[in-house]
Amino acid sequence: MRARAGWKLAAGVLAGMYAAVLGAGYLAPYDATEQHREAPLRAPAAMQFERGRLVVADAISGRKVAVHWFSGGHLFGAEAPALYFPLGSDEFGRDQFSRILYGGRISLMAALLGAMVSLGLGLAAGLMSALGPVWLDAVLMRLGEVCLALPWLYLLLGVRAFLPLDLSPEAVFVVFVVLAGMLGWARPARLFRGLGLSLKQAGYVEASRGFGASRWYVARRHMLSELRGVVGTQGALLVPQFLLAEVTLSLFGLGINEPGVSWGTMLDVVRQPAMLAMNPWLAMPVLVLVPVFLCFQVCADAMAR
Amino acid sequence: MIRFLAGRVAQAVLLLIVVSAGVFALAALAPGDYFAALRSDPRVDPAAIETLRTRYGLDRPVEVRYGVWLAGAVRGDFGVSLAYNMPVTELLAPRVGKSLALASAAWALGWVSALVLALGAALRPGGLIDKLTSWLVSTLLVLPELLLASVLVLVAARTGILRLGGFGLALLTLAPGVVPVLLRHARAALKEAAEATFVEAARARGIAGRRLWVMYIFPAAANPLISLFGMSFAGVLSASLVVEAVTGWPGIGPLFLDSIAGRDFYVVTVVTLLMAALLAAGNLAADAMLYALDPRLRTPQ
Repeated sequence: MRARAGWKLAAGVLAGMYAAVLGAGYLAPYDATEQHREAPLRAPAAMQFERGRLVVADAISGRKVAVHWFSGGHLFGAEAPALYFPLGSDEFGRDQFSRILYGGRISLMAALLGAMVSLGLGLAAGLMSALGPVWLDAVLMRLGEVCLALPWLYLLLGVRAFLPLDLSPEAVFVVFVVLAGMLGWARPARLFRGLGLSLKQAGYVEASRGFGASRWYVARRHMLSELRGVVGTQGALLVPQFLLAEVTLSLFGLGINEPGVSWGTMLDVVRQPAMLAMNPWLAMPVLVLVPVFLCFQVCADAMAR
Repeated sequence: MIRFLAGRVAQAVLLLIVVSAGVFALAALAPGDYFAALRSDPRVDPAAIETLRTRYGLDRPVEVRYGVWLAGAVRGDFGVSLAYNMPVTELLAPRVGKSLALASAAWALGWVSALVLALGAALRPGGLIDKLTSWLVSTLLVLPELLLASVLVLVAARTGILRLGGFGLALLTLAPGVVPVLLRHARAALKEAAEATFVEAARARGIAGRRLWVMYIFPAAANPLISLFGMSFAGVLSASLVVEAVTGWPGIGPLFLDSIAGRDFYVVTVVTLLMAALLAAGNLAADAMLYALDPRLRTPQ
């Protein structure tokens, strides 16, 4: 009972996060690329309650100004020319909070879509291997072995090495989803193949085959419904892995790059120790990863049961 | 045994050849090369670039380049790094040593702590260590390495307790990420073995204590763990790439990333192959150990 409630909570939090990053245009007080050179590297600042209303310190003058709610197409913000950065600003005076929301849009969506591509390919390949002719099984599994011949990150980087470096952020997004999806199919495919093979022995599948059901029918009707839980679990395990892959690639300048924003591009501060030491809040996106990972883990555990 | 291993070695070599051919094919399709940056520099004579390309053999078709490279590789010549203007083997050798030192230290630390904790948990189900390990697994699993890296780099930069680019910082960052996966598997394997029916039967026959664990439970639990042996090293190597680049440990990680950005083709190829070879070697070692330990594999069915 407790596990069930935890699962629902985790799924709810994830749904909320995805909704938040998709609604970044409204929730974020500023645009992701909007620079305020007059207020760089400001520390995070909480709202304060004063004389019956919420006030914030202006990032330029330090004067207390009232928070404006639901105005100018944004949920909240300080009235111009005052600036308010809830989670601080970076060296160009860009609002970290807004960047985390807009960056999450790229990072979370890329991870989700990449995992879906991977899972779809893995499921198709796994079931074709299990149900199809022997030669197809051999071809698919050898192909899978090539994909598994390298540590996953090296594989991704190795293939990325031969794509142009100066791609636009949109192009990188598409390339990442396709590439990660195409390189990550092998492990789930092996799992699905094994499960498919054991399901093939099940009495009801054999009976169905005996009644003249086609392979396609068996795959769709019997195996997919039986494998639903495993597919869900695999998905919940793959998304964090892909999220980390996007972050890593972008962190090293091989993924999304300026002016595009993702959690990975924001985290390149981790590679500049002096900058990080002076302004630790710049590494904030890494804290956002923790609840994301936690929620996916809880969901995966719940579905595995 | 020999025949079994020979078959596996042949498979691994074949796989490496396929991977290297794949890398060359990708390189042929790739736009731009190391000289792309030079070409956009108006002060550099295009003819000079062509001369350089000819010298490094980049003007030849890809299948010829692959043939030449493969013939060289058999003799231990893996090509030249364009950025460093030295043989790839010479460039990589010291860095590979550094990377392997870091990865094996983290890997060994991870295995030892995972096995000790898992044993503690299995000896007393429901006990303090059992609860602690379960909590540790779920906590460490959701903490991204980057978080630990950021915190430790921050500590290093601010207090100087840890030295940036030092071994301690890199190891402390890498090792905690290795533990949870191993611990989870070790815990599951030992628990499953301890609850198996043949263990119950052994208990019924009066076998208990150390003899039960050493003769019955460990051998049964070893099987799934050995398969994890090789694979887990690959996992450590992958994680090590990021950790090295962030903490400044001068292994192959930072070099690999630089060579990707700089289109230093032979370095990318050789590092990729090296990783594939290490992974294959790990799996091979696991296979050999399984073969030696598990009598079921030796008897033909």
